[in-house]
Amino acid sequence: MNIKIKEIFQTDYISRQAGEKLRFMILKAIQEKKKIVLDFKDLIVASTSFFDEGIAKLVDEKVSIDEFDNFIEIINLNKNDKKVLDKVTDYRGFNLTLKQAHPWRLCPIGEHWVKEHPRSSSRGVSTVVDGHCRKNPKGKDVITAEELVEIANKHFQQIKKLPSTKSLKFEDGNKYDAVIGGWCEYWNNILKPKIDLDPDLIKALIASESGFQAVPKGPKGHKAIGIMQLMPETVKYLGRNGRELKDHFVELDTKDAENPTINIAAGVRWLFRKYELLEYKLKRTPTWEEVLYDYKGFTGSKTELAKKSKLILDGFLKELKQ
Amino acid sequence: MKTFFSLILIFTFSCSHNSRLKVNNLTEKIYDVEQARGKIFYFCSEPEGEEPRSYLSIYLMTDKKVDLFFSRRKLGTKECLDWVKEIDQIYEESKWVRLVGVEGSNSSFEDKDLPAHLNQKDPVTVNSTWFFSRIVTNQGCMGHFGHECNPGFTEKKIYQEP
Amino acid sequence: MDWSKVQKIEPAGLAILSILFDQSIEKKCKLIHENIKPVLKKKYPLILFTDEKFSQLPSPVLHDFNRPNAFLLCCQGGVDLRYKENLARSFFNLDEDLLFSVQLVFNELIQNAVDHSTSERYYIYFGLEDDEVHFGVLDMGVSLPAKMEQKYNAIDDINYLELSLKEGISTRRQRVGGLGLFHTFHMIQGLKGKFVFISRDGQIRRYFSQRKVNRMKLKHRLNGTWVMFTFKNQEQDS
Repeated sequence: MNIKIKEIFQTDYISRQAGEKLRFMILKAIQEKKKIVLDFKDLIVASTSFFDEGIAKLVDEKVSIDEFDNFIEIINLNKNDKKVLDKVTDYRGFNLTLKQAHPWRLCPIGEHWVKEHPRSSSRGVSTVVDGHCRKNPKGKDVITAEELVEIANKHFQQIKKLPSTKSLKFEDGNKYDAVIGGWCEYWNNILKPKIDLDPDLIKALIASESGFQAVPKGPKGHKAIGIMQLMPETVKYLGRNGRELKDHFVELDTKDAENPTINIAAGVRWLFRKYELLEYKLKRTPTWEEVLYDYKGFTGSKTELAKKSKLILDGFLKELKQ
Repeated sequence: MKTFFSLILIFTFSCSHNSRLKVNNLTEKIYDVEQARGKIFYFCSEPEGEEPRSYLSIYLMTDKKVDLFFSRRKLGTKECLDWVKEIDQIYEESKWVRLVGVEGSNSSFEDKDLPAHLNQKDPVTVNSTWFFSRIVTNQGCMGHFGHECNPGFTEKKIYQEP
Repeated sequence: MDWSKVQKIEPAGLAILSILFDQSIEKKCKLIHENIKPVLKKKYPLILFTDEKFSQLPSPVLHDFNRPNAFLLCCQGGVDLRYKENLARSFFNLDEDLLFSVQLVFNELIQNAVDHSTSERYYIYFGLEDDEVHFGVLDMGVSLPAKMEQKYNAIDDINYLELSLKEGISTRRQRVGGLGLFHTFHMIQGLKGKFVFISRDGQIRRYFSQRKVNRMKLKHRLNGTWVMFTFKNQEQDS
């Protein structure tokens, strides 16, 4: 059944009320399992409200993308209206078109987030440069330290898979659970390993590396930084100029790495790189435990100290799994 | 003969120690111990791996046992040597030494690194191992991460009350 | 009103004048104009400079204005899309993407004026000045800070205006919110231009391409909300 939006909505195809009307039409079609075609011919809608109420809010009605795709077809949509539709549906998490690396991202692939910052004015007027997306030349997925913080602040209250609530007897043992769960979910979604990284492994690793102490940069000669003890070289390798990664770069500096939220995001990303390298070396898919041992330098080690250190890590893992 | 030599070794070390050992704290998670004019050995363990890396190891010798404090992670060669130099600066002229370690294990093992460091043949029995947290002498302090030497720091704050 | 320093009236000025005249009629004030330059009298209808004819008209006064390079619409009774016809009729040569952005903003602001201002009417203006496109929506209803302070706490009106532009902010108290102004403005960030946002005691002036913001407290309170845009025009090849 073809629905000509211009005819049905006539004088109002921009308001929220008009959008609600559209949404009820779509819901009715899905409930009755009848396919409808929404024809936007000869129309420029140019309304975030209309598309938000009409389509994006279908997510609140528990309509899945598959259901939408099965019963609703959109045709003759103006190219700029398509951008608006994509933007509002992405915002609500009803992703009709995935242009971003991940729904949580502030910027599409090929751009990275620059946070709001002051700019000095010669006239003495206070000016602020808004947070914005900046193009990166090679069109790759780049996430900056600032965006990591924005994502964590906005999305990590509702993470589905958190690590075990065991604190491992550390005072701050549960302090970073949401951050650990969030970044595991994020990188699992982006990098799609054959087996998802379990957040418990990251929690055990942090217990072993720092005892959940948010370690600032140490004195000269103490190189590793932060809660996951990232090396300065690793911080460099994660960026576009690091010549280590091919995509899904993380841009941060050593000061950023002192922040636990940023440190864990970067540390997990690095672990995925270690996973790739180990997979290549072993010529098979490694387990995540193997990747952890490799990260810690236990693999192939014959020393007692490596055994002792491994025992401690295994102890943490065992306790988390109980 | 070997056993005799080992006994000589241990006796020598014991005699050179002042037996005034003071345990500030000993729990499952924390070992805080002080020794006046204490004898410690510290060095980088045998490097291994593709990029050779070592553990910083600090052995606390008493007449009764040997406790080993080691770095949480392997260190690059230069980094490890830097840590050794830091300890040199605070230990050489010191009158006492205090070592604090966390995440202990009481399972003993035969250590080969220490005899190798001392050009001795026979292994030494290490009785307990701990992640190194900090070393303090009357000359100064050095911590694994650095912040352990800040005023007010205590390993107790890292852990929940038992 | 002393016109001695006025060389020209920009499109926003037409809307502001309309508001002044409507307000003067409603409040039964007499407007006296002095020192009008001849060039202004020549360019604009005489009716703009005298309230004599206005006072004869029934209240409220609605005066649409349509010139080759500018139009003004006074709208009441809900969402009014007549501006689209005016754009299509007189300004079809403008850059397609620019026109889309103008409509995107208009629609959002009209929606807000209808939903939230509680004002009887609102004013839409659009015009070309040299290489710039000027447009905006003005109302004399409940100001935005007055709406915002029912739901949020900010230290002053400038902060309320800034808050209204942030993601996730809306003035709905019960129903799950709309998108607010954030997304609309985010979509036009790439354009060169500025907008001025005035309501109650605050004014914000934001420059898009330079991404800078000026903030000011108004000397005199505005009981309404005025949002005025200026974009650099890119004409299409005909």
